[in-house]
Amino acid sequence: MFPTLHDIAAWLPPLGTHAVFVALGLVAASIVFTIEKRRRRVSDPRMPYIVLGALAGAAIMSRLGTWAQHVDFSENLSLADQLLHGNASILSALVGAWLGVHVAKRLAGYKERTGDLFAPAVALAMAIGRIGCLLTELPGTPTGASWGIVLDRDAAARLGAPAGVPLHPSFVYEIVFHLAAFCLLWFWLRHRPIAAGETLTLYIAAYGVFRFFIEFVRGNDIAWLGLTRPQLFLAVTIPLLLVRIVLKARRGGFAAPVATERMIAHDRRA
Amino acid sequence: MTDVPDEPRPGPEPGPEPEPEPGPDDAPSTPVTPPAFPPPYGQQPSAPPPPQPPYGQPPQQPYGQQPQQPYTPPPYGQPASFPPPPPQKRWNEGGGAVGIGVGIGVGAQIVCIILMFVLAASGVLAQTWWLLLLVPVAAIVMMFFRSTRMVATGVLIVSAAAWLIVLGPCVGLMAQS
Repeated sequence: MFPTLHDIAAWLPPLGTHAVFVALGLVAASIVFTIEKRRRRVSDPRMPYIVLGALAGAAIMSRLGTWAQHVDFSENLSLADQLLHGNASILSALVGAWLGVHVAKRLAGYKERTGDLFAPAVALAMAIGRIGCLLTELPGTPTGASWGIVLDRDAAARLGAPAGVPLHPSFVYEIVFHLAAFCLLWFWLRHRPIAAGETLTLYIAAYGVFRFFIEFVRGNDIAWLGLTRPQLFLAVTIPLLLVRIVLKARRGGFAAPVATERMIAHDRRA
Repeated sequence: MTDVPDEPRPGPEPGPEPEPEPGPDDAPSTPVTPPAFPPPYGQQPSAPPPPQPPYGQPPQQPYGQQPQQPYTPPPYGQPASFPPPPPQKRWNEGGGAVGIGVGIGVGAQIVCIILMFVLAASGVLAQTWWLLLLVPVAAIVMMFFRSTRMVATGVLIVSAAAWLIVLGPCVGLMAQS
């Protein structure tokens, strides 16, 4: 494992590996977001408020979402400790970003849907950020496959994993998923006549289902009924999201209005 | 052999009268190039170009458009009247103001983190984590004023990103050490 960049290569600075890759993910996401905003000709001056809502919601909820881990509240960290250095969760951050965007829209009086601007940016940021997880966190559960990651004694002791045993590279699976999702979104889905905001819905739903199954090889603590905490969260939220998608698809709600189709046709001609 | 007269054939149906052949005086001023027929595979047949006006005459105005009026200078001694210029964005409006806020936010966060480490190492203050709240709290106050709202948005965007990236791990390391 490589807690700092200096552990990867001696000439690199001693910066936290995880933090650096999260920062790179955010930078890449901001570039993709800007390109997509220009392509869709979104020039509303309230857009910075929406971006702020997404980031603030993600920052607060990424740590707040993992606060009440224990039924006995005395075992949980204090609220200040949790916000400052509690465990961060990407699922909580996504929920926080979604809530933050809706609060910002309400405050700014912004009615349009914005999910299509965020979808490819989030997918690319997740792919890059997960590289930081791969280099610093417990890879997964033991596997007999030849592609497993084998930890040395020190890294295994620090992460609480068995040494010398191949472990599932669960973060590699996630990186491949997010890169594939980004390619689908960037090169295909965003050019299709699909209703506004629905590309993010489809991406989040796909990631939720994928993450539920990846959790079986992630190595997180089992909380209840053989399921981890993320799986318990997803077991409630994924059915709601899938029901929404099915109902909307049956009503024809995924078809784009004529104006969007004209814009796509214009882009193709250009 | 007797010639059996055939059934009377129907005469030619009265059709549109043939257009008289244009005489030399009716010739168009510019020849119209007929479209290539058949068009090449995969290409739409091209429409003939619009007729050009005769040499020396102004082009005909398209339907529905007002002809452009020639510029007439104002009378001598009177200033020319121009349309009012579009309102210019002030420094604290639009995307530029958000960029300024992002720059201010990056600088302020770096200063606060350095200050926090210095004060913690020197032992002047026992608790220094509250320094991290200075920048976002100041930006939240600025959000209440219309003139500083966009700059404050940029500062808060940096604060939120910093919270996601740096501050949590940094404070965690400080707490463990």
